[in-house]
Amino acid sequence: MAALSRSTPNESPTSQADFRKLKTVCVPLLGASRLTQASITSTSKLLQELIDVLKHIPSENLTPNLISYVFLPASTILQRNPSTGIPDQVLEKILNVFGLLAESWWWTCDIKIWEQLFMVCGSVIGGIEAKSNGKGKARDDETKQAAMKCLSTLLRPRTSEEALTRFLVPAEAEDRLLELQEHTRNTRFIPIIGQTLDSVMSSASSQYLALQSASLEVTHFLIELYLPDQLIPSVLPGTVSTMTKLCLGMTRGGGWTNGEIVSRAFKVIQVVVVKALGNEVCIEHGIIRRVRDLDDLINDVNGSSQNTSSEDTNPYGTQRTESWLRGTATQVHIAMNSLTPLLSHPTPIALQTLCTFSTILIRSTSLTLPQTQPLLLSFLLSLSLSDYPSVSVLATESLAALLTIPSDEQVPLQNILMTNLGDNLSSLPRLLSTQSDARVAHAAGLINATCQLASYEDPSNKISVIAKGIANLLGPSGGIEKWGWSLLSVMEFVEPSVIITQTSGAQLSLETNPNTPLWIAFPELVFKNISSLETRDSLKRMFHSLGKAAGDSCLFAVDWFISLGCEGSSSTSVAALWCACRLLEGIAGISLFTDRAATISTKRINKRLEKHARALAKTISEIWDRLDPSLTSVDGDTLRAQDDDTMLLVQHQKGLVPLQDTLKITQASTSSSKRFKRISQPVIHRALCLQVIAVTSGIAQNRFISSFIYTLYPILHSVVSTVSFLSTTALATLNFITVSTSYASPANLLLSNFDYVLDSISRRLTRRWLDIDASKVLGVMVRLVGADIVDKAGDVVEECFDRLDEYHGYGVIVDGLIEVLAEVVKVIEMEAEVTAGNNPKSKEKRGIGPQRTSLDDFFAFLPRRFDDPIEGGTTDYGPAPRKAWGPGKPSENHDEDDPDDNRMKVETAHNNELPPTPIQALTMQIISRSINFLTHNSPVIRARILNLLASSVPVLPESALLPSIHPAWPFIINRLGDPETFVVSAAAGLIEALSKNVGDFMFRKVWDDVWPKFRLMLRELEGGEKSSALMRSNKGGIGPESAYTHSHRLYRSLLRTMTFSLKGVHEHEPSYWEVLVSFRRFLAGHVHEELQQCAADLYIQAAEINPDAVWLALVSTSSLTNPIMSFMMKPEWQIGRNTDIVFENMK
Amino acid sequence: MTDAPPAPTPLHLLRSHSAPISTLALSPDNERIYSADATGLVVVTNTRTLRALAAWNAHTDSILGIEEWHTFVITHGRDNKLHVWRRIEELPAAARIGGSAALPSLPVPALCYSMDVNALNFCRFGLLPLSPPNDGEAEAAPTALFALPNLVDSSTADVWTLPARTRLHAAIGQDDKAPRAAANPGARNTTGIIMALHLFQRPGGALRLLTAYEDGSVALREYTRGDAPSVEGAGWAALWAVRLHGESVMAMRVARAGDFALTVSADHIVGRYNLADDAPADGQHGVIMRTKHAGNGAVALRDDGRVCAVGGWDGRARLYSTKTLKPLGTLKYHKTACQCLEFARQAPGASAPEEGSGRAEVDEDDDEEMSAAEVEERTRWLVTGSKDSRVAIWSLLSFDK
Repeated sequence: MAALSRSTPNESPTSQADFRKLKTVCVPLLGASRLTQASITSTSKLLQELIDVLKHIPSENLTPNLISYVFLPASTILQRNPSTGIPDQVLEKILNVFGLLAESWWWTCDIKIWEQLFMVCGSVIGGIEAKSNGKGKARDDETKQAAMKCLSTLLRPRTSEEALTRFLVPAEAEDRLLELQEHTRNTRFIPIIGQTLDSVMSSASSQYLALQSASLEVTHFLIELYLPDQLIPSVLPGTVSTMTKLCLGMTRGGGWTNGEIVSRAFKVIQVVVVKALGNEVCIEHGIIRRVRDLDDLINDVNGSSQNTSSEDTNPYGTQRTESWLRGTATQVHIAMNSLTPLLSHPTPIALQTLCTFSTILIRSTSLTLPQTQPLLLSFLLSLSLSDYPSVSVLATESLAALLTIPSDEQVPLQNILMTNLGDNLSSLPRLLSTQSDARVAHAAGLINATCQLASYEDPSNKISVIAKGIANLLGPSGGIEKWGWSLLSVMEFVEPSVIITQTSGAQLSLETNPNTPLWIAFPELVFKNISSLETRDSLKRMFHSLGKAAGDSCLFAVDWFISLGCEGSSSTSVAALWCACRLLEGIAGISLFTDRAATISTKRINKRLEKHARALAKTISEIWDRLDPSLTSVDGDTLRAQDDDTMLLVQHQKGLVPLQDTLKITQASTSSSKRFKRISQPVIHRALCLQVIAVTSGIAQNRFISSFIYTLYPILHSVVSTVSFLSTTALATLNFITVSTSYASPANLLLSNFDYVLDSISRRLTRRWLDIDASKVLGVMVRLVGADIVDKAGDVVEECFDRLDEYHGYGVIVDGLIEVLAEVVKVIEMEAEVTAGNNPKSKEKRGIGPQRTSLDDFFAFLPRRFDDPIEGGTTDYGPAPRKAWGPGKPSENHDEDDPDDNRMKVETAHNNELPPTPIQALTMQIISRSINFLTHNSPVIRARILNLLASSVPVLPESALLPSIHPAWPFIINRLGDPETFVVSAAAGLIEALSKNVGDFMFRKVWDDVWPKFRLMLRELEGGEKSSALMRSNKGGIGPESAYTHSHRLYRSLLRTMTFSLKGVHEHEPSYWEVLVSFRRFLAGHVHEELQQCAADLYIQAAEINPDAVWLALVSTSSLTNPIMSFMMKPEWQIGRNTDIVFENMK
Repeated sequence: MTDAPPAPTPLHLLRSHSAPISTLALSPDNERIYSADATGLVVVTNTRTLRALAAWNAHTDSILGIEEWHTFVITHGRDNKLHVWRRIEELPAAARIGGSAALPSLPVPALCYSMDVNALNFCRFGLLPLSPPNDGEAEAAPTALFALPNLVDSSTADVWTLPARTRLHAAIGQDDKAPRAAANPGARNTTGIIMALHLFQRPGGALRLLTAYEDGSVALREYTRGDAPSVEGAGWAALWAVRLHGESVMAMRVARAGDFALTVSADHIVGRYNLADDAPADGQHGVIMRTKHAGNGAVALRDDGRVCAVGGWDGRARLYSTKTLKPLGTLKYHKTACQCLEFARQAPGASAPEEGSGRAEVDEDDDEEMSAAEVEERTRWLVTGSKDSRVAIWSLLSFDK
């Protein structure tokens, strides 16, 4: 009061101004205090004005006098009118005015007035004033809310700062509160406060959010501050159940409750539980005892019945006893348990409150609610994984604080945490087998959270107890054999949908794009028991964080998994590999499934781990040294598995689950694991092996390079796999390794380490151990690396041939090996193109052919043609001077007995020529050894060999090539009569290449052997086309429509061969004319463009030799120039356009 | 052989050469493989990365012998030169940049000194290091003796010192030439030229020289005089000479313990010579042991002397027990003659004195790249070199019972 009187003079000017403002409203309001239908509006308006004025006056400026002045008219309205006569809006405004007044009146008002206001508000909220007049009409929510606000202002404790702004001593706030509390705790007031609490809580379930919120606040104040201690146990059940319902949204029937409401409700529960059965209260009442030292134990015995005679009991109160505690604790536990769904509440504020709620309850009810502690802890753990950083940080910090700050709870909590971890781990198999995704995710999440806690940065380092615990769990004494088996037995992967492709997509992308590596993701595996992605991810995260928390100590677990994984390719092994892989990722802090930036671990990798990783990589790589998994896994595992006849069916059932079956699951887990062994999953097994290799590379990083010697081959072996899942995994692995070992691109990596790959390949092409895929790998490597590898691969090629000789009967093997050889030759070709400059294979010897017939002779002869007739008439050009191909001749005498010797001989024979490069030597070897396969019974191989020869022709010097071709010539020629068109076309291709490159050598061969065959073929084909219905539809009846038919290719080869023959080989007069005549039809307009083009080229080439003959042939085909030539007439071919082209190009 | 598992494929193949491999050697610590070919190219291969550390043309002709000696490498070529090179020092694993299959430039070791020698008879030098690595640390430079065929007469041998390059003993074996020449007039030397020699020291300290000849005989001589130098073979007493082979000896190897020697030749005989007893009874100096395969060009002995490998002209390497010559297995990979083979050291010692001190502490944990198991596995390697210009590395069983 002294303070108040002191403040009045100072504030008088403003008070006066405020008074004047209030006066203008209060005077008419007092006048209109009697409400009639007519005055309601004006009164309401006045009240509104009053509210506005009051709102503009800072609450500390409201002196008691002013308050009384304002209170009078407002209260008069209530007094003068019956409750029914006051409409809701007027009452609402009056209550608002009271609320505004109470803000400052709280400090000074008479306790009676406070009580009156409290009761007015309480009655409005509870609808008592409405009931009292019999009408039963409850006030609307807005009015109730105004009452609630007013009540809240009345109940709200003030801070000492607020006291200071009112120039009061800071302790005044507390003193006043105590005064009020004292008043409310007298027996007369207790029913009122109980009644109010009840009505406040019932209005908390209102649909009106503001009212809900305000009523929860008031509930909180009431319970925390005003309710007598004995009463709290009585209100506990009701409060908790109301709040739980409210939080869960049961009152509204579905959907999440508003976050703020949840938050406030949690605060209420927290307060009521702590106040009802907190440690302190219960110790005070003697129902529990805290045992801190031995003395406590002694006291325990002595004073067990000390506190039973409690003080005077309140009529409404509930006595706290041990049995009460037991019963209540169970009830509370059930209520808490029902709150679990709120962990996934979408608003952070609710979660934050849940977090504080759990923390505080753990702290204050550790002794009274022991069975609830794990639950609360699991709340905190789950929350620490929340997506909201505000929540997760808060939860983690609370957990850390709980576990590190020494207190009663610290040690038990740590124990609980570890038990929790163990329980969750061992419950995973059961949950997995019942396909309860959500529960799996929850359990995994809890484990995850515990592990993350272990790696929490903590200055005092006390939390390392947990890390040690986890390390222990995964270490040698952790009993991984117990939980590991059952976990593996239920983890099963779905076999990826197998797409068999001829060449793997991975292989193609590796080759076509050697310089720009894209980030290639590992294809994901799908669990059989888990349907959702989130659950799978949570399992993955669980292993990651287990690995991270345990660190090096879990290498034991990794080893255990790996050793299982290496046993076979059963589904158990597959699961074991998966676990090992994830654990390793965790230890190293890397993940295969994040994108590129995150792959390189920044964590310091210790030497032990690194060494271990490399050893693992080696062990895993050795799996590829075994025989084909699809073959081996059949006998061992299956036979063993068939022995046990206890068939246990783990199945997913919907609806009612027969109890005895579910119980059996745990009983017979060992036999169930055996059952799963039967399923062999070689593809997934291999893919997971690759993943392990990738992870180890991520661990060892740059030092992984020394492991390339073992690991590259397995990866490449899988890259060429025809199963796309495997090849993609392999490519991703290669990519990952490239990144972790800091190579620029996978191609770069392979380039730098091709020697290791070559080494592995060559070992797998031996007689003892022939791996068909090795040849594919070699093919890829040859394509990628090019000349470098070919230089060194001579012996591998030799091996290929040795195997070819041995296994020539097996098409697959031959095919694979020949493919490699073709690749080698391709590389050689490219190499030859590069070095073409210094290899002058130009045709200086052009003039050496047989003399071209000159018409001069003819013209000289013409006048004298009747003088002396020449017998015969045909000129025999047959025995052409052998000099022409003389230089090639000596080499032909060598028969190719040994490639090495051959090379030496060639070297000595042609001292003027450069000695063959290793590449050339290799090609020679390829040619000489592959010629035998020209008569292989598989047409594909025959064609391939011919193509191989054709592509090697441009590469080799004549001296090296011709000795091989010469003895093989009859075989090549015979291929032209092959029943398979593509072989014929390949043979023609070879002849084309030969004509182009070694024309001199080919002269006799072309005109004596090839052309007659060609002529025959042309005729046959022509005849065939005439009889073919498909071809006949085409008017001219010439040439197929599609460029993708063998006959098209054959025609093209024929045309090209003859073009090159005309160009490179000297013409042979009689045949020359035949050629001109035979190929005319390809100039026809209907023929495929490409063939027309080829034919035109042929005629242009022919025109260089004898333009007159070409002119004659073409002109007489299209138009009748001379009756003698009429047999040539084929106007329907319409070769006019092409004729023009040919003539244009004639010189 | 029936009990043994099927013969393995080579563990690795080295493709560094493009000419027939003529000789091979492993460093005492098993870290490096030295291979040399007929063109004079020497390649040093790291046994961990299996990549070349150095490759250089040491000689202009085929190389007869190569051996690591402390920090040096001695090469002996048919171009009548003997070179001593400073060994290439590898960088520690940590300092190495990522390896590559095709390094642009490999270092060439520095040539310390060379000398002109007689290389007419394909016989490689026999080295006797005088300062064992264990106590050699205090000494400034290691010294060694080595034996070579005589500069003039290829049927006698000289002993030289290193690094002084002075001749200590000359024309060993000349003294017993006279009676033979008398018994068989016209022939210059009945034994023919020296095909292989081995210089070693008796436990007492006396120098001994074991020589194998063109005619298939093997002779052991001991230097009985205390002083040096000697000339004309004076002071070298022939202890025994025995002829077991009908053809000339192609290769000879003395067990590391020095208690016996083995020779192979074009025939199917393996000669075993007793060096343990000082004076065994007559006829017990050498024993003929017959194999089923004729035409052997190389022989190697494992460190413990219990297993030998014989390289055949058919390209196979055959393993035998040395005591009974029981066949232990055949390694088949090379297509042409297996011209040289070498076992890895079973108890890898320090390669050089300066490393010797640190070796004791270097245990498993500090060895960054290889685990103990891998190091152990490496001691069971056999390296073969062949005319087909490839070096094959085999991993053998321990053959322990």
